[in-house]
Amino acid sequence: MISRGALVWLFVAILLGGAMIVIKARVQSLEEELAGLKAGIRAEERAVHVLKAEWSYQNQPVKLRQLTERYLGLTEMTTEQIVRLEDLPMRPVPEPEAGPGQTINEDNLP
Amino acid sequence: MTRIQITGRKVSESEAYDGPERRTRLRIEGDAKQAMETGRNRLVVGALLFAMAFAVVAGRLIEVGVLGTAPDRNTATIWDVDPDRFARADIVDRNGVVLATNLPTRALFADARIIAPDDATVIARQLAGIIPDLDVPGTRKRLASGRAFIYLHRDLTPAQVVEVNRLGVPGLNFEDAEARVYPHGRLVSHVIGLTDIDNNGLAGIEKRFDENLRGSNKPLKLSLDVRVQHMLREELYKAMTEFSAIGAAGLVMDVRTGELIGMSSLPDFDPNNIETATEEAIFNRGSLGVYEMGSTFKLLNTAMALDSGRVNLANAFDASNPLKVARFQISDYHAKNRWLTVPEILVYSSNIGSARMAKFVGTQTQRDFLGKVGMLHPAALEIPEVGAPLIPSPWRDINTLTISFGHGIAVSPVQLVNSISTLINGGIYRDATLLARDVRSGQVAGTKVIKPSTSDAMRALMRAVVMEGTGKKAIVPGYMVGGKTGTAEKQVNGRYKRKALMSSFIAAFPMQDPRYVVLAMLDEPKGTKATFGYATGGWVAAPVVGAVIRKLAHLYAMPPVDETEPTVLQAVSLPATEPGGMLKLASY
Repeated sequence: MISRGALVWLFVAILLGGAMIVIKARVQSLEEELAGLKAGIRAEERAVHVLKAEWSYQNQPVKLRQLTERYLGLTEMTTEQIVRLEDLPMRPVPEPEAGPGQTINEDNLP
Repeated sequence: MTRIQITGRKVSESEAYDGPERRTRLRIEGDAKQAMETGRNRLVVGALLFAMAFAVVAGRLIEVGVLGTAPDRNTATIWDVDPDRFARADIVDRNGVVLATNLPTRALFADARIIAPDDATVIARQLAGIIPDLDVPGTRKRLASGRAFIYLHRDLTPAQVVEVNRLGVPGLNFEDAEARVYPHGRLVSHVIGLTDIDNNGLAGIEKRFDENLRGSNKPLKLSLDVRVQHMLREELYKAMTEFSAIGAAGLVMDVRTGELIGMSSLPDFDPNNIETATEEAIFNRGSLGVYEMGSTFKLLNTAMALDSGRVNLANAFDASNPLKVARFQISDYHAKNRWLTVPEILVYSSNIGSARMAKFVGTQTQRDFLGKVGMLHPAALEIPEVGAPLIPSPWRDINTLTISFGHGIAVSPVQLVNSISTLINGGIYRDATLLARDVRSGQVAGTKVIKPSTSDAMRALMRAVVMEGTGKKAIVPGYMVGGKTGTAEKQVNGRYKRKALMSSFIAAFPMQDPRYVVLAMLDEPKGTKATFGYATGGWVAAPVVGAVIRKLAHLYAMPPVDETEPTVLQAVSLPATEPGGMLKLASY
C-alpha cells in the first residue's frame, strides 16, 4: 500500500511538472514574441536609416532655400539682428495706472 | 497482585497485550545480509549526492533572489538585439548631417535556364517598360543564353520590384543589395569622393578611409559644415558664372583647430551619377591643384621679414624703380615710384618692395620660414587628392625675389589657407584636417612657429589691406575683415599668359580675434562692365569672400563689433615702433 507521505510527494511532483510545462510554454511564447519584436526593431531601424538619408536629402540647403522663398517669404538675415544678451535693454517697469484723482498729462504717458 | 507466568519468563504489561499485532522481526543471516548492507550504503551515497545538488540549487537561488549578485539582466537583453549592419559606415558632417550612406536595394537577376529563348524578346521588352535605362538588345541576348545566373539590373526601386513581380515571369529573381547614396550630391563631392559599384572607395574620404568605413558601423564625422559648404559653393558659382571663369575653389578654415569647415571646387560632379562627370569636374582644385598664388604670398613674405627680427614695421624699402635682375624685370602693378614702408608694401601690393625685403632677409631665412608654415611639403589632408608643391630646385637668388610675391613656387590652396591661419592665430601651425576635431578636450595641439608679436602685426596689416588697399570689396561691417588679394598670371607651357589669370582673395575675420580664414580663387575670370574690365582678385574674388564671411558670421550668430570703438581699433592697430631707417641693399 502507498503511504500517505508518498501520496503527498506524488502530488507535489505532478504539480511541479504541470507548473513546469505551463512555464515552459509561456517562455516559449515569450521567446517567440521577443524574436518578433527583434525583427520589428530591425525593420524599424532599417526604415529609420532610410528616412535619415531622406531627411538629409530633403534638407539640402538649396532645396530649403527654394521652399522658404516659395512659402515663407523670409529675407536674408542682417547683422543688426544679432545682439549680445547683455546689450538687450531690461524690460521697462510698467507705469503705475492713473488713479481716479490723478491727472494725466504727456509726461506720465508711457 | 497475581502475575501470570506463561513462558516462564517475566513480561511487562505492555508486552503482554501486543497480541496478534505484534510485528515479527525477520532475521536474515549470511550472504543476503551482506547484499542488503551494500544496498543501504549505496542508497546513502546517492541520497547524499542529491542532497548536495539541491543544496547547490538552493544556494544559487538565494544568491540570485536574495543577495542579488546575478549580472544585470537588462544589459543582456539590450545586447541581444544586434544593430542592423550595413556594408559601409555613414559619413556625416560636423553636425551629424548624413553626407554618404548605404541604402538597402534589390538587384534583379535571371536564371536563364528556365526562360524559354523564344520568350526572351518579350520579357526584355516588358522589363524595359519598367526599368527605363535597361539595354534591351543586350538583355534579350543574355536571357536567351541559358546561363544559370545573370545580372539584369542593379538598384531597383521598391516600385520597380513590385512591377517586375507583377509580370509573373518565372526565372526572374531579386537579390538584396546595398547602394551608396550621397544625399547632398555635388555639394560635398570632392571631399567625400565616391565608391564603385561594389562599394570600394575610389576617391576622397571614401578612398582614404575605405577600410575604416567597411570595418565599422560608426559614422565618420567630418569637419565640414554642410551649410557653410553651401554658402561657399553658391557664392563661388555665382562669381564663376558672372566672370565666365573656367573654375573656382574656396576654403574655410577654423584657425583655432585647423579644421576645414568648407571646401569647394568648381566645376564639380554628382557622385550619385558619376558617368556624367568629366575629368575636369573630378579634379579637386582646392587640394590637388597647385598654383602660383601671386600677391597673397606677400603676407608670408612680410611675416617672414618681421619674424626674422631684422625688419620692423617702420622700415622702408626702395620701390621707386623697377628691379632688374639678369634678364628679369620686376615692376609694380600699382606703382608708387618711391620708397615704401613695410605696411605700404603690403597695402599697395608692391612687387619691388617685397622682392627687396626678401633679398634683405635672405634665401635661407625665406626657405626656413616657408618650411615652418607648411609651404614646402604636401598638405596633411585626409584625402588622396593632395598635390605636392612645386619648389624651385636649386633655390637661386632670383627665386627668392619672385617667391616674395608668389611666383616661382606653386602650392595648393589648402597649403595657403593653412599658412595664413598660422600667421594670424598667434603663430601656431596645425595641420589642416577634414575630420572633426574634439575641441572640448581643450586646445588642439600645434607647433609654435611664429612669434605672437609677428602674428599681431599680421592681423593689423591684413586689416589695413582691406580698409585702405586692394581688398575693399571684402568689407563686412561689424566683422573686422582683413585679407589680401592675389592675381597671378597662369603659366601655360612654361610661359605666362597675360590674359589667363588666377585671381584670389584670402581673408580672416574678426581681425581682433580671428576665428576663420576664407579663401576664394577664380580660374581665368574675365572682367565685366561692372568691374571695368578688371579680373583681378580685388574685383572678382574679394566680393565672394565678403559674402561668405557675412553669411558665415550670421549663421554662427557671431556678435558684430563696433568698428570705431577704441578698444577694437587698438586691437588691430599697427604696433608702435621706433622710427625705422630706409633699408638699402648693397647689390640692388
